[in-house]
Amino acid sequence: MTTQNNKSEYMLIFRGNDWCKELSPEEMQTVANQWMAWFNRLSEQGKALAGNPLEPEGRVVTGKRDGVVADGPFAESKEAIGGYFLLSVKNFDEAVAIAKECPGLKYGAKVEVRQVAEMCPMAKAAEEQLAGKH
Amino acid sequence: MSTLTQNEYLMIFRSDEWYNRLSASELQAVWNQCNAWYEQLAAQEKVVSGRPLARSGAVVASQKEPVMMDGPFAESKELIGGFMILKAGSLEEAIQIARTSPNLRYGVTIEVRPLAEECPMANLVREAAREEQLASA
Repeated sequence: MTTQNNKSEYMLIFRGNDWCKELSPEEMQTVANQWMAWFNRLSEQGKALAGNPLEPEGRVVTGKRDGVVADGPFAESKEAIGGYFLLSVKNFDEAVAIAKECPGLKYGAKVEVRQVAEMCPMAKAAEEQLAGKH
Repeated sequence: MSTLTQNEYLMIFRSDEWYNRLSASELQAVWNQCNAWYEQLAAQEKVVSGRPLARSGAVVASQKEPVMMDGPFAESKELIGGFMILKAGSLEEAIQIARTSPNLRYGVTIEVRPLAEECPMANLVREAAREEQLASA
């Protein structure tokens, strides 16, 4: 809701958390180390503002009567979100270039690259409606 | 990756562009409610960060050119519209907070996920090492 971004911010959303099950413990250790080194380097360069892995648990909340939908397929799914980085970089191309360095890619992980909006789209729609009225 | 001093939870908001279907007054009302909701959580120091996302982007996968997410996908209910990181005592408390979000009634869904102290892979590695130790004992 707040957008204190003078630079361009991008989210890298890591998708899929089933791929690591195929790896040997040694391979897992290697990928985990690579991932950490990747994040640390981006942090030192001032390009990563935040980043966290997610626990393979959680809930989905909706507006339906009972409110809480499901445990969700967070444990083993190709689309499940396994973690994120928040980047501050020059442009979309740089964010994509960083996404391509993800150590999980060769094992089947996917990275969604999304620009942080300058303004909440709902607020923007409200402003546009108001502007249209005048 | 960053050290967690208290339990933190990622709220992932997904929706279509429901706000474009509302009248100006409805939109203003829900916008005010959402702001008040956020400000209240911020005043309680429960908000770590939050960002809305633009409704476009790309998916990067191995060996492939990035696939742009424009077009019909931008209207999908599954598209992530933004996120917030909350401090809460437990997953249950984080879920209770999510349930009070004023945009739920417009079809928004909120995935609530605990942030992990470390990569869950590290756990798997330790488990495997433990099993190996047991097997060799």
